[in-house]
Amino acid sequence: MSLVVEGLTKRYGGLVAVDAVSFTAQPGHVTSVIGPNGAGKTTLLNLISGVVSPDSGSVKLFGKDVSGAAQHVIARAGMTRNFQSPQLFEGMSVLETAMVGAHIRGRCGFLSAMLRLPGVVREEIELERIARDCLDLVGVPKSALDREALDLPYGLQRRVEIARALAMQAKVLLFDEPAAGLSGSEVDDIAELVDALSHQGKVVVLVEHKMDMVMRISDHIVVMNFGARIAEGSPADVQQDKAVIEAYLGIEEMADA
Amino acid sequence: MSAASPLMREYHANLKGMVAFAVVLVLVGFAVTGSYPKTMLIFAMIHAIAAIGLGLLFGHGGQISLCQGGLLGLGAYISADFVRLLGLDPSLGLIAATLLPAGFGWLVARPLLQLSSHYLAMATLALGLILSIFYTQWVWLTGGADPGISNLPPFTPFGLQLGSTNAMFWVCAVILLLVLLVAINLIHSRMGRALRALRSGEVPAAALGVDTVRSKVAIFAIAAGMSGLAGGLYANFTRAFNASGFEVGLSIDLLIMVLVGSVRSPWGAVSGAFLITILPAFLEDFDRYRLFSYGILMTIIMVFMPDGLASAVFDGVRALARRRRT
Repeated sequence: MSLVVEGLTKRYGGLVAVDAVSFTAQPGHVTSVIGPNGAGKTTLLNLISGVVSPDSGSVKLFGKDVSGAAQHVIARAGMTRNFQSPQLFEGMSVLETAMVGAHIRGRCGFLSAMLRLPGVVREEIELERIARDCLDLVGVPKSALDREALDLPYGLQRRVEIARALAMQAKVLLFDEPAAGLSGSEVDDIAELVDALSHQGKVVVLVEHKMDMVMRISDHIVVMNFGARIAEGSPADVQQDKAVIEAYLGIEEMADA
Repeated sequence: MSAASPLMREYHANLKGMVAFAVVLVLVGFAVTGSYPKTMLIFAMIHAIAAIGLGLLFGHGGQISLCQGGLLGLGAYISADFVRLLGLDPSLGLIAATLLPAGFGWLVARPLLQLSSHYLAMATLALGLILSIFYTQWVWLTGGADPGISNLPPFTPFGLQLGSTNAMFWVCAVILLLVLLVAINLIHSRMGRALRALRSGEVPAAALGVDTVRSKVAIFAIAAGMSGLAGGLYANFTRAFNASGFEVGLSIDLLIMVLVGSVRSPWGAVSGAFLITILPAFLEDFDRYRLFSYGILMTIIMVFMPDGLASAVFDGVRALARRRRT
């Protein structure tokens, strides 16, 4: 098991944002987390990736307990995430942005960087090669490399963000609504990309509202409502689960009654 | 191998800029013979060294500091006391004036950088005030506000007679070029990118494995070291100074230099330092209108040249060159 989440809980005052959520995600599988707005999906991702510390519960990454660890420690343990709206860096070109993704694959520190020791130049060339490869892999055109990342159309920004995560060579990728704000064919492209990454052996955790995409590429689905896990299983199982149907279509219950 | 890479091209363009700047400094060094204008140029170069550090901290690390003047003072006193009280070679004094303020910056940065934006500005302002109080009170180290330190022996590292205004010009020019090179190297490196990333967003930067706390502490220490080095040169050049030279006004002047020049590029810090240091010398009675004219200058620059004066000039020159070609 690569990513094991156990009993993860976060309270904000009287509100239990995430209530004892457990699931496991494996390499080669897309594990999706779905639920109505406000179900606590993004908070769950924040807890797993270290943006917020959990009140209780644990996150184990390849057997190592990383619950409550600093974000960069978790990143270096092999897990990274994308954000609901692309968080690209202001004033940075596409190429540079992807090179920040390759940050942990370099070793030079402040002192050697300031003196530009011979190893630094070699490392720069290596990091740039990694960044170019990753950008190429996700389909960012070469003509865009010099442009400021934030000037790109939204769909391309999404791709740059994914390339940046790939440049890290993380084994676990958390996607927070990677298809949000995209139109028909762009959604298909992103779905294909996410699916391909899992086939390459990555552990993929996907939070997404676009149900046809979720049902198409997920191997395993965790359904949340009001912070708690209400169902879990294959796409087919989940679609027939009574609790899930109630959560999404609460009116139907009233109609039945 | 590297010609195809836009990043390497940019780095090499900066190196060419440095060669051009070195040529200008040599020409100016020989052309300007008067003692007063040369003194102003030396002060401009000393300010430029501190401003480059502040530019890295503010423009790349995204952390504001209003204690750079205090840190410059720290370097000045350390440099002077190494010679005056410990009887060591002034070269050692200059090295200590860089390393000790950097170490001090490293120590205070962890608690300070828990804060951000105007809270950080206020905390660093307070640190600057505390430093200047120490400078007036610790008379055995600093000479206090009056007389301060006077009659520091001329700058004679390794027995070389470099104390004259003429020689100090070349000393400062060489050190400025070295500091500029170090800054350009840092900007075009993995760490420089990490800083710009965390300036734009700490959460996404950390999600990529950037140790944001360590990076911010390091750049604060580096900026403190550059300020200290500038202070060391100031001490060795003036050879007489007192605590009034390192008050908050100097910190604000340094920040204005960076803002006027450009926060993104060390060239901006250099041009801002030269402008703000030398311009007042041309204007009579300038002291009376100083803050007023800085205010107007800042407003004009912020509105019409948000990337700073240096960037606007560079862009203008580039646009002119393009027009001539077509």
